[in-house]
Amino acid sequence: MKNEEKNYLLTIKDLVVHFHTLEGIVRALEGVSLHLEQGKTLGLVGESGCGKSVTAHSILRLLPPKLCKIKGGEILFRQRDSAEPIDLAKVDPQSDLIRSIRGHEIAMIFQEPMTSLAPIYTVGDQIMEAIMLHRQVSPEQARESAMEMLKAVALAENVVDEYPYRLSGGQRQRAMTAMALSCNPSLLIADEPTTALDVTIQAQILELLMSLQKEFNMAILMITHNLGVIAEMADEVAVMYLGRVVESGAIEQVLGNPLHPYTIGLLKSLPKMGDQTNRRLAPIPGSVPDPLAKVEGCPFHLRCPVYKQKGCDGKELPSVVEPEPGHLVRCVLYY
Amino acid sequence: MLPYIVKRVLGMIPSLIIISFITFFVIQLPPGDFVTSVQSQVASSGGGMDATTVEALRVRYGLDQPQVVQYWRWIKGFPTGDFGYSLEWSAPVWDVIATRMGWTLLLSGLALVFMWVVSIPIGVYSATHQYSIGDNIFSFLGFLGLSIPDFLLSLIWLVVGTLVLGIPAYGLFSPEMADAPWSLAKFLDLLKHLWAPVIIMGIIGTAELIRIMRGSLLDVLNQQYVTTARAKGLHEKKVIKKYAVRMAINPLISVLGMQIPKMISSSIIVGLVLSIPTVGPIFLRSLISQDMYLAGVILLFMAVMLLVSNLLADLVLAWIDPRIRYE
Repeated sequence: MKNEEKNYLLTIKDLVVHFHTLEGIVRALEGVSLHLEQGKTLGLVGESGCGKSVTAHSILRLLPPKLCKIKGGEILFRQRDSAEPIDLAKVDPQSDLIRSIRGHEIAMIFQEPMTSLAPIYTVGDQIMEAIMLHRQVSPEQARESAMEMLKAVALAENVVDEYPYRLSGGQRQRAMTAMALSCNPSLLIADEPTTALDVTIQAQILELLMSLQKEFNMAILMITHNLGVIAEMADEVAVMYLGRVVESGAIEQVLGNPLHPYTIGLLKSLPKMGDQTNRRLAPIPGSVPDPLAKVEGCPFHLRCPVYKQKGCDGKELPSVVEPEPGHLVRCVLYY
Repeated sequence: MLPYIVKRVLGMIPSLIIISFITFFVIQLPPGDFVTSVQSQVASSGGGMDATTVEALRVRYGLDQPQVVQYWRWIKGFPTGDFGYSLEWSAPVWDVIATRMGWTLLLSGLALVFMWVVSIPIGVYSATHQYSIGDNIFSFLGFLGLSIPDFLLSLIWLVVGTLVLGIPAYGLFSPEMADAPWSLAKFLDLLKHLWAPVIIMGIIGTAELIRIMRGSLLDVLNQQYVTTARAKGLHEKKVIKKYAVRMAINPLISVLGMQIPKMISSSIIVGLVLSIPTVGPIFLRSLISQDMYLAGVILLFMAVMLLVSNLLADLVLAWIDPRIRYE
């Protein structure tokens, strides 16, 4: 990829992750490359099983170490006080180094607000724990900051003494966000933060994230399968398919001028405001191949409507080309 | 909390009355009564009893009365601490069983402690090292422990202890210590005898608890909040201890309520085989000789233990899990 001289906060290069399951090897990531600037939002989209969440969990090294192996690639992250980025892919997932980054410089919020907070401790306990882990403060100060954070996510201060099961889904996701932001991380990974919430609450959480991003100047890696969410929030977007990024670029480029047949298919399959109600949505034909199967060549050629054009036989993995500056696509149509 | 406990304790009283009623009549279901069994004992030793003596005995023991009357005579003393009169031992029931009950409770309690102390660390190890060699060895030992009944283990221990190892494998004290006054030497002698029955009694429960702990922890380790705790930057040990084990221990406490009475009945069997003065041996004899007041009190004692241990388990659950506390 170009622009390497730029000071990206996070750069992922050719990340390969394999799962060693009882049924065989699942090639979860087959060479993912991304980059994210300080203070910006990168949207990572794709359908279920394409490797979005695996990418996110790999950054924090949260994948179960026995089952999931990083086979190659780099995850370069620029820490706050150092000029040289460190390669998180090479860090021991049990080390003090990765623990000092988790929750402190990179925080994460999850898809399931109903289960992501432990039911037996109060919200305050759980936020204070994160604060006291990374900052040298007394329990009283930690409680103060926890209450401040709860206020910042528009929750009442007395939520600090509530147990998670007494909160609604939206409130829990706010509390979770408060916990994630309590140590002022430079990168927030949001793994489908609004998927389990209903639409009005979704909009509230997204607005909250955007305003907090401005306030704390943090970068967000937004993982979702909802293109609407991406359009609203992201500066850049990367479209993933079968463990690879097939198209990436600025949001206007990718959504305004989609190049990869998969991206085009995704956008076509969305319902549009003002459409005639009797128009059928255009789904992408076929389905995602079995995760245990190794797809040779272009990952999308089995479902691609246009691959026989331009002499593409799908047998070879297309290389990444850049038809316009910053807009990358992995497809032979644009050679 | 206190009103809840009082409510639960008061709620036990009707259950106990019903249980005492049922046990009293069930004990007397076999044909004959205490006098018949005395009669056959005398007959088997070559003697005989004439009909008037038999009648006189029945009248004296109140056995000529209807069963409901007998039940009332027995039960009305309970509030004043009078648990009836053992016909066979010619002594108040309480005097017959008091020390034996103490030993039973001590053995059962120690076996419970043993079970928990051993099974929780092993269960946690097995779950966090799933399918490792250690996990497989513990699983194998666990299934072995589950499948060997306690009376067989007691017999094996009797043979191995006395014949192979040459150490005292039965009783609670060495013969020379049995009647000695309490001293450090006697206490040490007791410890030397106590550990084996405690382990034998605890081994089935230990195996059960290891399986429960392992399964429950494996379940909890997949929960989102465990990942959240890791993503916070917590040390893995703390994640396991503070988040995973605290949640995974719930089902163990639920079975605790079931285990206390199980321990009591196990102490009866192990006590019988290893000649330890638990309530076991006299319970068996009282059933054979139809000494119904003694047998009834022992059965009632076990029922009380069941109710109390269930209450305890509920209280502990409420203490560790706020979701239960507030309901």
